[in-house]
Amino acid sequence: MAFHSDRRDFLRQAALAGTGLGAAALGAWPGRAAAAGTVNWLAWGGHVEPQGIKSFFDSSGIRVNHIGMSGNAETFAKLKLSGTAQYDLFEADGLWPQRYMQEGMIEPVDLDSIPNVAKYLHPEFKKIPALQSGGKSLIVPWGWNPTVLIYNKAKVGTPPTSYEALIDPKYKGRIGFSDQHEFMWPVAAMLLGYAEPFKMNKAQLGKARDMLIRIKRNAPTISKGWNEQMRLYVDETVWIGLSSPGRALTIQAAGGPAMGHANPKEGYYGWIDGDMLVKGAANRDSALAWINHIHSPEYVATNFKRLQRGTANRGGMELLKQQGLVDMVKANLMDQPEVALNMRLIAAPPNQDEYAAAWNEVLAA
Amino acid sequence: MDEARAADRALLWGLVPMIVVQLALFVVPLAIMFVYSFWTTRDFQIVTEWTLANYRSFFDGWIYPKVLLRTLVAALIITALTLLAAYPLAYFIVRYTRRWQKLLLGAVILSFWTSGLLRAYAWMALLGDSGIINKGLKSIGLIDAPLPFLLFSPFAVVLVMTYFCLPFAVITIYASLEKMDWSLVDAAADLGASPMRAFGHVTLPQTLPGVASAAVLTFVPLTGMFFVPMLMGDASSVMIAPLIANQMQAFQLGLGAALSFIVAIVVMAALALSWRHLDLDGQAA
Repeated sequence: MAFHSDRRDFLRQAALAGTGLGAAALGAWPGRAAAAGTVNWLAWGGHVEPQGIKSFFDSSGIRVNHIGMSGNAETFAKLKLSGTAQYDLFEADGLWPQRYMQEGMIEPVDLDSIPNVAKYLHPEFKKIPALQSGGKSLIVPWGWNPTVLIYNKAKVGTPPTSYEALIDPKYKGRIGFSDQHEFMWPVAAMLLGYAEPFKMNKAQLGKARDMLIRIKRNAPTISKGWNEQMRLYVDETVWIGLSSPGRALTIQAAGGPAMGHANPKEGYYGWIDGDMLVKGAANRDSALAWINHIHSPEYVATNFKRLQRGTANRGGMELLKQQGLVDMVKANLMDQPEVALNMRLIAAPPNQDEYAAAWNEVLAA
Repeated sequence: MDEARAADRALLWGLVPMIVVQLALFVVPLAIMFVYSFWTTRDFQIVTEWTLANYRSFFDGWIYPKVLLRTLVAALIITALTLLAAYPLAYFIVRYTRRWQKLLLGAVILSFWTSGLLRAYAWMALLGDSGIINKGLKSIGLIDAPLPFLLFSPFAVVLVMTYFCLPFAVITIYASLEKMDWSLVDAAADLGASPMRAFGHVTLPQTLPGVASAAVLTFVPLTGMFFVPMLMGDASSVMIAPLIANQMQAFQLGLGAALSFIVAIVVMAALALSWRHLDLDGQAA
């Protein structure tokens, strides 16, 4: 009898819990926010300033839903699979916007139609040749930086001038190795003298893989993301690696050693990131209003002071200078936008499956 | 009686939401993944032609079998160490701490209150070159330079994963020990068995199903370990899960799905074999 009673209780509770969970799940189901006054923004977490979102809401009544994104390939794959309908804006860097354009996912933007962008963007970023379509821009440029060598000044006496430092046996266990393969393939390709790091054929890819395995064997670990890498530089576990030039300053600011940066003789790749407008976006006007807001010098200065990288926004740079952060502006090349146009950009390899397989071999070795 | 049955039947409807959730969030995604494992992708396009190419890829080169073997060996070592640490602890809690039992059990599961990632970072702070252990040993003059094997090494992965798995094993073995008929141990002692002999012939056999459950609860999640080996292992300690994740992130969904199923099949086969070998049928869990 007692058994019966227990089971009934259990089932009753299960029914209640099930119904409650079902109702909660239905209530929480994210629908397409088509109502005016909302922007669905798929963006890197580093670009988000909560205070900026609040002030935008206070002044416009428009709510910004930030959805975090990860790497380029992962985001492209996700959007390709699920579609873009639930977003109004999303981000990418390098030459990835071209892929989105080919797929008909984005609408090019007339940068001069957005007041703050027209007024504050460095003119160089308004006409990036590879990111134009019909006189409009595929992307509203946000940040940029070349990826160069950074090194611990005390531990590495002479500044490295070549990527060969990464395979130098004397630095065994002292090399930073990132899991961001988009930035690792160009290094291997340039060391091997290949002109197109993102268009390597199978044989070239095999050699590039072997080169990356050599670099990896000089590294103590594979680091995921910048914060983890920075910790390794700060506690002097690693001495040489790849990063944006301004990161040298970030490491010092975090209590790390004096760091330098050097442009390798083989050349370097870089990235320009920014926001893209979804083709047929449900909240197009609100999305453009948000773009206008984030390109205010105040938002830009707040964000780049925290992120330490190059900004495409001249107004933000000037504000940082006025705040006495000239060293930071210079370290991050914010006052040299021409560098952005001269660097080569990371891109989507057409033979993605071969690159993924080769990268797995690097990781597994 | 009929009324009671009818009431039960009516209440069974209460399980419908749970079954729907299981179907929608487990069975259906698994089925989709299974289908995908027979498809390929080309330039971010899914090619819906049935093929075994993804499964063949596993055996094409050396990397996947090698890394899977590495993962299984690591999981086996960590499982063994976890059980070796968990059993005495659970035994101690059951046998000698009647008054403080709940408090100690609470302490065992206390670590779950914090995110795993944070705990991993805390371990890094302990084991790093400038961590507490190296600094402490240096300050008392035992070492001149930081011990290189403490962090970014297989040692660090095994240590931290054992720490992560310990609560699962302790709780499972504790449940088994708690239910055990301890009068049998007393009887063995009365008949002249030494404590070790009584443990080997009475306690351990009775709690073996609990130990086996703890082993499964430890071993299976370990085959999917991801962030600890990435954070704490050396550059050559990559396990199978990051390789699968890499394929998924690169939109190689078919290959990623096939790899996942191969890992699952290997793990299930290993468990079935060991279960059969242990011959736990008929013993109370």
